[in-house]
Amino acid sequence: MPIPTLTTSRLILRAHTADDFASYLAERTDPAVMKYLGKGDLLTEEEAWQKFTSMPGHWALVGFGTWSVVEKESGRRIGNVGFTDKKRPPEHPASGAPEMGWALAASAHGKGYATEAVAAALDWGRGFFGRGARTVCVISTDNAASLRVAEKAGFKQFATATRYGLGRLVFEREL
Amino acid sequence: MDIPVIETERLILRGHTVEDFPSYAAMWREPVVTRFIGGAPLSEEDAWAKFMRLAGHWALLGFGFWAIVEKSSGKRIGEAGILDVKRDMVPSFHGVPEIGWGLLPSAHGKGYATEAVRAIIAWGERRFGKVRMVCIIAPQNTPSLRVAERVGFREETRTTYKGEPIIILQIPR
Repeated sequence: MPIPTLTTSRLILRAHTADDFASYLAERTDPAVMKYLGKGDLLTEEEAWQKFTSMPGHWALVGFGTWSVVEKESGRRIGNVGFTDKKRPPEHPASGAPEMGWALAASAHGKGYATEAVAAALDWGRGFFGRGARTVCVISTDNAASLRVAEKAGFKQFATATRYGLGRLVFEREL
Repeated sequence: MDIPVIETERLILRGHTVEDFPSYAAMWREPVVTRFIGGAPLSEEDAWAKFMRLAGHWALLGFGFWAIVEKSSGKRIGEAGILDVKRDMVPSFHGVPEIGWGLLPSAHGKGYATEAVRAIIAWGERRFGKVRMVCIIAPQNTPSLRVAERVGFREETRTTYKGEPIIILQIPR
C-alpha cells in the first residue's frame, strides 16, 4: 500500500525513508523535543530506531499512520505528524479511536508548522476514517505549545490520564 | 515492499499481516518464551508496538522478520528473521545482519526453529553474500543455543545487554 503524500502551503507530509532516521534520532535526543514526550527522557539510538521502524510498519499493517514532515523551502525533514492505533488499554480515555500525534525539531518550533501539518493530516483522516469519525490526542499537562496546537485544530479536552506518573490531558474531536 | 515467501519441508515463512497479531501477542505474553528474550511478558500495547516494527523494518531496509507457519496445521507458530536493531551493546555489531527467532511453546522441541533459521540464513546469504552474521542468546537458553550450534553459529564473546548476561554468537567468515 503506497503511503499518501500531502502538501500544504509550506510543508510536505510524506512516508518515512531510512535516510530520515538521522534527523529523527537528532530530535529524539534533544531535550527541547523530548521534554513532554513519554517519560521526558532522551532516547538511545536503539530506542529511537524502535519507534522509527514502527511508523512504516503501522502504515503497512493498518493503512494509516505517521508521516515525515518536510519543510518545502529547505527540503529538510522537521518532524512527524499522523494517526496511530496504540492499542492503549480499554480503561484509558484515549483507547478505541485513532490517536493523532505530532512532534517537531526544536528549530521548527514557533512557526505554526505543527498547526499546518495537523490540519492537513485531519483533512486526510476525514477521507480515510469518514466524516464525523472520532479522533483523540494525548498531551502532557505542561506542554503549552502543543495544547495550543490541539485547541487551534478544534480538539476539546474531555479527560485526564497519567503515564509514568506524569499528567496528561486527553482531547477529542470529530473529523 | 513485498516480503518474500520461503518454503521449507514443514514450514512457510511469510510476511506478517494484522491478522497475525493475536498469535503474536499470545507468544509475547508467554513467560516460557519471554524469560529468555526480553525478560518479561508484554502487555498488548507493548506487543503491538513491537509488532509494528516487524513490518516497518522490511519497508525501510528490505529485510526483516517472517511469520513462521506450520504447513500441516496452517497455524502461525512463531517468527524468525534478520534484523538491524542498533542494539545498545558493547561490542556493537551495528550493520551486521542479526538472526533471531522465537516460537510459541506448543511448537518447541520439533526442530522447527532449526528448519526456519537454516532457510533464513540461506536467504540472507543470497541477499548479503557470505558475510558474517550474528545472533544473541541468553546463557541459560539451552534450546536456542542448540539451534544456533546446528545452523553454524559459534560463540564469539559474552557481554551484557539491558543488564543481563548475553552470548554473542557468529557465523564466522
